[in-house]
Amino acid sequence: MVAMKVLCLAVERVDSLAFGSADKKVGKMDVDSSPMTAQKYNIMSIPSLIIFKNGEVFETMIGMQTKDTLLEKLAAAAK
Amino acid sequence: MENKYDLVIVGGGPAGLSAAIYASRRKLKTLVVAKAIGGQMALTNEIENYPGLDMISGFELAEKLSKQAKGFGAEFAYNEISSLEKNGDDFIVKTMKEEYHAKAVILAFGLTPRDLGVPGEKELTGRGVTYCATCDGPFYKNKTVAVVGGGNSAVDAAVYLSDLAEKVYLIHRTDKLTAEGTLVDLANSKKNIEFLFGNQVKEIKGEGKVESVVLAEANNLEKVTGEYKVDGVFIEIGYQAKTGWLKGTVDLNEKGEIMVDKNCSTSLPGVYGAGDCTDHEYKQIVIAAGDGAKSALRAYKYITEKAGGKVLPDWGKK
Repeated sequence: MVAMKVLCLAVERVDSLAFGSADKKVGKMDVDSSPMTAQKYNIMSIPSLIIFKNGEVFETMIGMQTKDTLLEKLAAAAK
Repeated sequence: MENKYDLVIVGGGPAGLSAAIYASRRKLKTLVVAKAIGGQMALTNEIENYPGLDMISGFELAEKLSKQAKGFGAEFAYNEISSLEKNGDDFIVKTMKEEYHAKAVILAFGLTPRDLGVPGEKELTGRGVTYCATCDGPFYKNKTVAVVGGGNSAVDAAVYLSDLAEKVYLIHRTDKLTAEGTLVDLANSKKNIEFLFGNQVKEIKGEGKVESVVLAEANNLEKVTGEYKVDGVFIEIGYQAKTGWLKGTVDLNEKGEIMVDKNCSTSLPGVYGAGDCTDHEYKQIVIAAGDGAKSALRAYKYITEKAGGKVLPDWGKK
């Protein structure tokens, strides 16, 4: 439960950074109710964040990320 | 300048958030810079000793505190500070890319889990190596895990994991666990916990994720005692104040904690320390919160007196 709440906070944060651009969508997933999907993406720690580009995994980040890092990775993905 | 503040608070745990509440009520333009809100507290499931609250989750308390601070006008930046320097009368605190100017600074960034410092640990962090059993435990249902440590958090983690995992190894340097008696009894009663006493971790191995852990004699790293197949390694060997970046700026004790006086002043005027990252003996949420209040009032006094203003007492109408 703790992990889920931490993740929601992380999602809110990414959402606020990506806000204003229609081409970016931010979602969250509960690993307890979707263990198969978690396994598919090799998720072993919470919070984990995956940037998808054109439906493909672009970057996987583990742990709480700083604003600097998030902006950097999002910019790299947007190129 | 946009990034100019009266007060920058480094850290978003109970100390930093309480400082933010007190500072913004004194109309100080306050910024909290923290990677995450709540710190260690946010990962605590049940807090039963915070005065006035029967029971609350750490995350909920963190949310309440940050909401309260925001309500009084405190701003938040989710980032990590990497340097602090004095610049004339002001201070400059920097993240990787941004910098903030402040008249006073409160250091309240708490403690960070201690790492083993062995090969494979860093590379496999989040890939089987973890420092938070309650966060990542559910990923190890019916798997084999190792817990490193012998104190309360290690034994607690082993007990918690024994209900999820098929097998739990508890690796400890001596044959005596330092955890509380009741916790040790509970661990002893679990059939799937195997104690590997007198051992230290030499290496964590795996391609892309943890596959095994190599152990050596506690007093001789060269004498390998075995290699155990595991899916996860939970490191629970205590916490440390990550203050390397402050060396030479403020005085630190031999543990690396920030040395403060009874009113939270550090060796550098205008810089204050609060909560677990200081040399205060008791690492408790309520004490951190109290430190936060003290440090904010001190910062307010420092800023006001420097500007030639009158310091008002903390009572009376706002």
